[in-house]
Amino acid sequence: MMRSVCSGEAQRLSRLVQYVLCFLLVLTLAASFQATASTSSEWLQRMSKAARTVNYQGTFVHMCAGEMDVIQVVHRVDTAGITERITAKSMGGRQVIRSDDEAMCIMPDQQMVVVEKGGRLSARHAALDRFSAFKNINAALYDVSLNGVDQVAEHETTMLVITPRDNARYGYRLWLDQQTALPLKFELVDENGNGLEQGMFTEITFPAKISANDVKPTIDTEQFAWQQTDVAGEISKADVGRWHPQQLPPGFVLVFAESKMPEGSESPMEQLVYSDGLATISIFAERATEGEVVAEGPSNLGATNTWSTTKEGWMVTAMGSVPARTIELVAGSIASGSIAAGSAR
Amino acid sequence: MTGKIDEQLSALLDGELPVEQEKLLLKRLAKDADTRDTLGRYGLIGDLIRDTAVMPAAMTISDRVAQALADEDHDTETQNGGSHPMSPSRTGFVGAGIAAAIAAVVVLNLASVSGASRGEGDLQVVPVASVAVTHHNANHVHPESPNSARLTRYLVAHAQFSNIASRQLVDSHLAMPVVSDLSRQQ
Repeated sequence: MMRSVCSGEAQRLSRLVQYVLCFLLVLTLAASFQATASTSSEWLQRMSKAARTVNYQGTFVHMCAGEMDVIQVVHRVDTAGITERITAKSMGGRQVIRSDDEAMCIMPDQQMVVVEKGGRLSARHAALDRFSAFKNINAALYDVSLNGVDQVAEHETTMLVITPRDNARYGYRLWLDQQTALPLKFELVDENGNGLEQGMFTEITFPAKISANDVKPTIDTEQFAWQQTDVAGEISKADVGRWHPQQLPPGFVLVFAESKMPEGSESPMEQLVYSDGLATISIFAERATEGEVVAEGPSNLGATNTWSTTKEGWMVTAMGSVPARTIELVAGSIASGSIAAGSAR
Repeated sequence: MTGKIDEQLSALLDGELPVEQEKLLLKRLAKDADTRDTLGRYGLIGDLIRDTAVMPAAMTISDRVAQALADEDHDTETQNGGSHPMSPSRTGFVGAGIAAAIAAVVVLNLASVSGASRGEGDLQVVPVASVAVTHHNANHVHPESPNSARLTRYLVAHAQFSNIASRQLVDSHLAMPVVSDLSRQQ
């Protein structure tokens, strides 16, 4: 009898413990969910990490200015880093195979393979890592908000809206996969909310494992010409930058400067990159060749606006995915002088 | 145009079209100008049409769709050198996987420009005389123009930084082969 009572109490206790554990588990899961997906900034944090932690493969469609491109993406993550194979359904079936330290562009239509690896990559990666990441988006410049849920490529997504607080830059709408936080769709929008550019996965899967073979080239390159591009080390900001904007919208700072000699060119091309953490503006400067007629004024390359001018025998161009008025403002203020690294004006 | 096709086009833009249906729809797009026009009335294209800053010439889905599918079917013409016009608007974009895809579009398309610069297509770089910034007044520049080649080179260089997601995964160097390739055409 005693054994029976004890046994019954033990069962109740066991059940109680199970209930408590279940409750705690629910609380933990709920807390975990809150911690990973409750606010826009947390979604941004998750998104920032997603690409380095998630395998995926799918079909991506990109549309802009009435043109559409379809490409296949295989993205593999392992302990050695990321390897990716990107294949165009158009453009002669060109293929890009890239890893953290090498990129290979296979161009069947030109019977050519171009490979680049080395120091310049590291320099650029370092600069890119330094200056901006979505997780550090400047709240004084952009409002970030959640805008409900939607379905993209048969996946549940959370919609994130990034709205600039002034009219000097563009906004974004992002659809983030609820499981992985990987963006499955995006829109670049102007100050009136009109879409300028759109891209999305029409089909995507997240395999637990992707074979190394799945990210190898599928094109026979045996008869192709191979070219390896020159490798250059990092160039100090102080070494370049004769021409600088004297006016920039709030929040833009100099994040990168480089001078390089384009193949086939006799003079270096200088590039300064300014960013507000999301939008970027590049300033290019090159010596004009004798007798060359330079097209001055504004241009548009889809959603990218440019403004070119000549100054003292130099061709200077401002370019950025920002409104035309912003580019005009920046380009109009370009003058020779010392570089103002890392400071907004 | 059937209601079914409309639904499929809408689903395509919403990313909700099953893979098999997508393939069929893309093939249909390749053959059917009406379908392409309908697609153009949806989503971004519709927005673009409503946007006064859009070039009229860019209002319809490009024949690139047809070309894309022709390539997929091993059309021999495409083996002779990138007859696609440049799709120049490869701007920065936010996000991870998509960023890589966009970067690839930049690279792959700009690589095609080198083919176009042989006179096989128009480069859609549209410098305007020093007047107000309205795309309607833009002048097309022949792809052989040094100016357009330069702007293309700049676009490649800029694209390496224009994309916030590149901080995580877009290799800025992807475009470099294209630059080299393009330079050889000049």
